[in-house]
Amino acid sequence: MKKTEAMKKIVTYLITLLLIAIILIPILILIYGSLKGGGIKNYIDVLTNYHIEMYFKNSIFVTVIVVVMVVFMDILAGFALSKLQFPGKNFIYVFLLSALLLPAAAIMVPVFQISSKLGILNTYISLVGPYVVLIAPFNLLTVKNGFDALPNTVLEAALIDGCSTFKALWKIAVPMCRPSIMMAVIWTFLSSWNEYLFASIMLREESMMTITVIPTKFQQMYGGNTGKLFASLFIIIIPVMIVYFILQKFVTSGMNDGAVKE
Amino acid sequence: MINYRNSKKLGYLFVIPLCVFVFVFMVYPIIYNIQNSFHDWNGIEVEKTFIGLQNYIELFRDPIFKTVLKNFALFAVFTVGVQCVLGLLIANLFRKKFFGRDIAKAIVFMPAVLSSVIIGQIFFRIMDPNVGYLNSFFKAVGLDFLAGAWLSDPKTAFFVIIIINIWQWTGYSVTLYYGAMMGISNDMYEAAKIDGASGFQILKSITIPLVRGTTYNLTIIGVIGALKQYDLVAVMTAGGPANSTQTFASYMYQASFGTYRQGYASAIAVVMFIIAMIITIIQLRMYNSKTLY
Repeated sequence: MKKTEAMKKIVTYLITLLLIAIILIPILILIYGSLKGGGIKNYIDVLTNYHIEMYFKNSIFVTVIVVVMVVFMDILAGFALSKLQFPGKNFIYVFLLSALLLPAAAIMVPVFQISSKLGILNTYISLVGPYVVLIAPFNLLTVKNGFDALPNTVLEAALIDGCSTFKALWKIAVPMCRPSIMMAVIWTFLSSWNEYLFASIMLREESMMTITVIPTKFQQMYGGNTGKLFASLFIIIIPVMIVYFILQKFVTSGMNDGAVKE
Repeated sequence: MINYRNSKKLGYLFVIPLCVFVFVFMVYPIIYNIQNSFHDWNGIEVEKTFIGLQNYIELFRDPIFKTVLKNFALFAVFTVGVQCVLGLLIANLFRKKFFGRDIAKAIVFMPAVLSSVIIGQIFFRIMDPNVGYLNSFFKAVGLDFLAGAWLSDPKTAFFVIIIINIWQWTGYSVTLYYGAMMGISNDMYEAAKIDGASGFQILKSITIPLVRGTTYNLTIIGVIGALKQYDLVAVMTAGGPANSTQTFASYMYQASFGTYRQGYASAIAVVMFIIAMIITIIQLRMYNSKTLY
């Protein structure tokens, strides 16, 4: 009995180590490759000569706008769909969730035409519309599930005390549902930060581009210089990796409530 | 449900902003695509020529579109199948606490937060037939037959993309399965153990049936993911070699911005919507059949 337990433990560790290796080896190769040719100089070169910080700034700018808009609208809609009673509510909920199945590419042409007609191509405003529709539905689920878990009695007590609905939402419901809202913030951030298709269609001017679009440019620029290309790729992923490991609990903790619950 | 004075008015007021966005950027594009798909249009000129069902007829005769459909099926079957099986087994491994488990869990999930474009770029370089590390590795350990130009061979290129997708998203499946398994009462496992059930029997008779809600969710997410697949293809093969890795999205991109055939691109979009709708109907049916909890 003891022996088989020990064996099991060893097998568990071996498989776990193998898994970690499979995930980390490409990242380690990336780091190793980024030092090829010029060592740490590759990094200095990419950081000083190619204004990588500009693309970071662009991404941060777009992402902040999208996070604020998506989370704000998801909180309003999630609260209404969870706690308020109005005719057609279920239909509206299904309608909003149907956007979950929307493939980004399928709206590419019309959205491009809308932006072109409005003359907003090559501006960040052109990204906001498609990003909201592609990102908000998934996070609406998370936010609504958070409100669903909040007992009605808490809100009713506040309302009896003369609190307005709006105030009850922002002063009571939102602070109490912080974990699910935090999760919506993180996933909105990641989805917006990593988006590629629309960023590559809408932003034509190089100084406007976001960080995910830029490696394809580097690919053309550095060509055979693997060292500098890898250095730039590592610089791009390291902030996301750090943020992920710091906020890891929030990223995955509520995932089941969001995805499994109907 | 709270029911107070201005509940109705506020309810509508609160859902309107999001509904407006969905109308402008989903409903309008769907109508636009349907209308556009009956026209021949290069996307630049004002004039559109009505050509009826011509785009659809051409689409279903188009050998590249057959590849697109085949790739969609391959991608869906392989990524969903492998990610579910691996996800389930790994989550089962993580069920019992052991030293380093939580860190391992975090590492396994990590690729899911990284951009597919960057991941594609990294693997593209690693798999370079001449200077890539993968082939040097195979040659160094004496597995020369494995060293090859996988990405430039039409027979293997799409499988490379499938494998990279599995690398990126298995951690997601693990996390969802793990969460579902945490919801299973420990008494059930204890009872099974007392009855002398083996680990495999427990997995088969207790865990798998009880996490089938997750399996079902992952299947839907995976099939939709297969329909949406663009980023990896765009940076690794751009649909090539010889159009062997074209997906709905990449082929539509090519029709829109490569060959300037917007009507044709819209027809592809409409087929995409129809597939998404069929998936939704199946999903609703399954929810309503109440086999899930």
